[in-house]
Parts: sequence; structure tokens; C-alpha cells
Amino acid sequence: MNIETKKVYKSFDGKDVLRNINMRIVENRINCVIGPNGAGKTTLFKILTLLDRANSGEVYFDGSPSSSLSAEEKLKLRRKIGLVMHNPFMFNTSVWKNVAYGLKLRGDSDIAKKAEEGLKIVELLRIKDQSALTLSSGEAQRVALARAMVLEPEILFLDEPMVNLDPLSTKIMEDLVFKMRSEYNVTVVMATHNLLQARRFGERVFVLRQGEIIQRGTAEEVFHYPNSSFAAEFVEVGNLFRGKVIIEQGAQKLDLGKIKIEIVPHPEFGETGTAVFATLRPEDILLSLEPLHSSARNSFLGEIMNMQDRGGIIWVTLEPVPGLSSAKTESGSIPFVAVITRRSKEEMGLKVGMRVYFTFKASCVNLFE
Amino acid sequence: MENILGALTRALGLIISLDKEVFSIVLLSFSVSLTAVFFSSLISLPLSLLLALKKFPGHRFIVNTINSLMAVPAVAIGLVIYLVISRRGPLGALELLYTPWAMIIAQAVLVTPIITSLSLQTLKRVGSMVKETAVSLGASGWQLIITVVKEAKSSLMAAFIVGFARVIGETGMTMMVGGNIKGVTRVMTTAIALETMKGDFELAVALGIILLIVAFGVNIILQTMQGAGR
Repeated sequence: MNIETKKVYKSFDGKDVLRNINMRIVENRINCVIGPNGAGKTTLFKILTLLDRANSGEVYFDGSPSSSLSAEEKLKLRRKIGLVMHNPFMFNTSVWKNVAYGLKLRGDSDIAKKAEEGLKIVELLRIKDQSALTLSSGEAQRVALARAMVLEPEILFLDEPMVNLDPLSTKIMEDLVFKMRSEYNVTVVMATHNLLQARRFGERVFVLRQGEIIQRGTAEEVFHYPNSSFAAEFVEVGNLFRGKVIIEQGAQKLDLGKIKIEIVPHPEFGETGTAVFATLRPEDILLSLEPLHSSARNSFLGEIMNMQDRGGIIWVTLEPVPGLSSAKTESGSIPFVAVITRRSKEEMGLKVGMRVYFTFKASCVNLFE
Repeated sequence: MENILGALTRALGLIISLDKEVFSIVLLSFSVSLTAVFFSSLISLPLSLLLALKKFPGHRFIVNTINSLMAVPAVAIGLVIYLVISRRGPLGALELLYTPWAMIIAQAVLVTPIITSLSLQTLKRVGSMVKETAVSLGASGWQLIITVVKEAKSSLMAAFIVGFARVIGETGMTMMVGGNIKGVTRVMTTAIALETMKGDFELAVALGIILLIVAFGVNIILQTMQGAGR
């Protein structure tokens, strides 16, 4: 099913919750909507699943505007759409009856088999007779997914499906989401503020901020080339700098104050002195004890200010050392963040206060105004 | 003290010996109040469902009116019903005054705002939780209503029981429109009032005990339901 929105606005009590939403859900792919709490993700999902109406604008389902649909047509359409909310509501009955609910509504002839299969997929068949009100949040989330999946939807909306889940439930849910997309060809639309998940899953990513889509693209585009300081901070780009585009020896460079870095030519920032933001992903920075002989045009000496272990991956904060390499002395701190594995850290004997070289390609620097 | 103990002993005797008069009064009380609650539910259940699940022009006004009606004193309702069904009233021709039907009508009028308001609170709470889930799983309008009622059933039952407890203990209004006629419209509360005024405590205490048992029983049922329900 093809879903597209045009100029969708929604407000509650005079406060805009969604503004000018124009989006097209990519079919048979995993679409991720990322944004902080309160960005409007849930409201957007309710409108896309016909649970709520936009104040203005239109949602098109396979080309037909939703506002022109009769109640019966809407019901038909809704029955092709699955939705799993975070903190899903469980009916006050058994797990099995919860999963069978939607099938019963449709007068399905194969309820027993389908419900059983659904529970098997989410690995909860053993508690089928348990009251659904006694489930843990992880189990409830899985039951909710099974309840939506057994209905064989063409498109499945998952609103923060893995918030507050234990690792086992998260793993099961993630595997299922992939399975839905790859084996059953279901279009998945997932809201999340878990960036790792969005990077792993998102074949199409929409960044939502204060009710507006501020960036869209592949996960690669959004995570490596954020187009605003908000997107950059939100996708935890690691390194976000403010600088000026300058021209030196006929080539564009970025002046960060303390150092100047080489960038690939950006004709759109033609004028000298254009203030821009620059982002650089920590994994694009190489650390070495000796200067590197590589094609990467940016190499600086830096002092390790801080090292933070984030589950086996070490985030290293470096401050360029002025007066050496191409760094020039000026006040102001511009810490760079790089990541290395724990093993590399040990092999290199890295310690806070040590000086190391950090190197990155000009093409890894993403600029935006 | 002796007087009270004597009345209590004789009252227990009446209950244990299954006294015919006591039980005809108890039976009438139950049948009048249950019928009143039944007729009330025919209005209050659909009305509270409509108000809980739909927003429409005048919605707020109706909810406010129902809440205001809860505060109307029973005796005022009794007076209005009396005027309406008395011989010279608009429904005088039906000759309802001083019949069990008069008591049923008055009790139903009294209890309808109470049951509607309590049901509305429950259905609103349950409805807001159930609605999105049921609709997203493909429920049609009717299927949604059935699901909401099913989910709210124990709280709805509690609303009906509260309503029943309210009307079975009603005295003044029931006396005004029923007339407290022996064997016809004499119910527990009106009988207790009359017998006490006569100084004949035996029957009053016996009925008082039964009324208390009903009140405690209702309370126990309600608490059990609250434990079992959401």
C-alpha cells in the first residue's frame, strides 16, 4: 500500500503538533521516523493509520484522498494497516484471546491456527492461557506485535516498539521487524528515538522535530550528512563545529578558529566568510601514534582529554595541539571525538594526556548552513 | 435497653420464621428497585456510551445537565412525579399514583443520572484506552461498542449496584408516590418509617436488619468487583 501525505497540519488546543508534513512511505521497506519525545511521532502515526484526522492537508492511500473515503472504505483500509503502540493496551482476557481479537472481528475461518502461529513467532505460545493483564511490558509488546501480525497487514506501524524492553524481547522484536520486511514483504514504519536502531533498520529515515520533518533520506544520508545542527545533535553525529569557509591557495577550506581543515569543494558556499556548520562522524577519524601517510588530507596532533567506555567502544575526546602540524594558535576549545575499540586502546596504550595523531578525509566533513 | 433487646429478639424471630409480611415487603422492595434500575439502564447505558465515545455539539451541555441532575433532592423528584401522575396531572388518566409503577418511575428518574454519570466516567476511561487498539485492529462501530462494554463490564455492574443501593434505601419520595399501602406499595423503608412512628419496633427492626444486610452485601460485592476488575 502506498501512503503519501501532503501539507498535513495538526494542532491541539491551538498548539501546532504537526506542521506541513509531506512524506511518502517507501513500500516494502523499513521507514524510520526519528525525533525526540514530543516531536509529534505518535500524532503522525495516528493520522497515517486513520485513527485521527489532520486539521488540514491530505493523506493519500494508493492515490485516494482519505477525506473522501466513506466509513466503510475507511474500515476496509484500516484492516490492511497494522499498528503497535508503545505501552500497548491489553484486553482483560487471555493472551490467546488478545491475539485472536482482530481475526474474530474479521470473521476469519482459521482463528485457532493463525493465533497459535502468531504466538509461536513471538515465542509466547507457552503463556497463551495467561491473563494478558499480568504480562511484563516486553511480553505485552510482543503479544501486541503478534496481535497485529496475524492480521497480515500490508503496512505495519510500530510506535517506539522497543522502548523499555529487556534485551531478549528487544532482540526478538528486532528480528521480527526484519522478518516482516524480508519474508512477508510488509512495509514497516517505525517511530524511534533509538538512533542505533534507526541506523540499522532505516532504509528510509525521516527526522521529525517540533512537528516538522527537517530531514529525510537513507540512513547513510541522515546520519553522515545531517542538514541542520538539530539533526546533527539528534543523530549524535559526535563532532559538530561552527566555522567559516575560506579560500586558501585557490582551494576552499574550513576555518574552525584553532585549526583549518580541508574540505571537498562546496560551490554553494562560494563566498569567503560564509558561516557554516560542519559535522564529522567519530568513526571517520583514525588515531595513530605516528603521522599517517595516507590520502586523507586532514591530519593533526591532538591531546587526549577524555576517554569514555561505551560498551566496548571507547569514545576518545581530543583537543588539537596548537603550534604543531597545521594547527594554528588561537583561543577556544574545539574537541574532536573519535572512536576506537577497547583492544586498539590497549594496543596503542592510550591514556588521558597523551598526544596522538588524528586523521580524517576531507570528504568525511559534512557542511551545512 | 430491655425494650431494644426485646424488639431485636422478636425481629430475629420474624426473620428466622420467614414471616409472610416481612418477606412480601422485602420482595416488593427488591422487585420495585430492580425494575427501576433495569428501566434506568435502558437509558443510561446507551446515553453514557454515546457520550463516552462521541463528541458532538451540545455534548458538554448534556454532561453538565446529568451531573446537575444528580444533585436534585429525591423529595423534589417525588413531588414532580406526584404532580405528573396525580389524577389532575398530565398522566393522571393512567392511574399510576399509589401503585408500584409510580415508585418504579420515581426511582428510575432518581437513579438514571447517577448510573449515567458513573457509567460515563468508567466508559470514558476504558473507552480512551480501548478505542485506539480496537479500531486499529479493525473494529467497526458496533464491534467497538461491544468491546468497550465488555472491557468495562465490572465497573458498569458496580454503577448499577450503586444505583440499586441508592433507590432501595429511598424513603420520602417512595412514600409520596407509593403511599405506603399495606400489601400493595409498602416497601422496607416506608414500612420501617411507619412502624417506628407507631412505636411498633419489631417489624421495623426486622426490616432494618435486612436493609443493613443488603447494604453490606452490596458493599462486599462492589469491593470484590473492584478487586477483580481493572
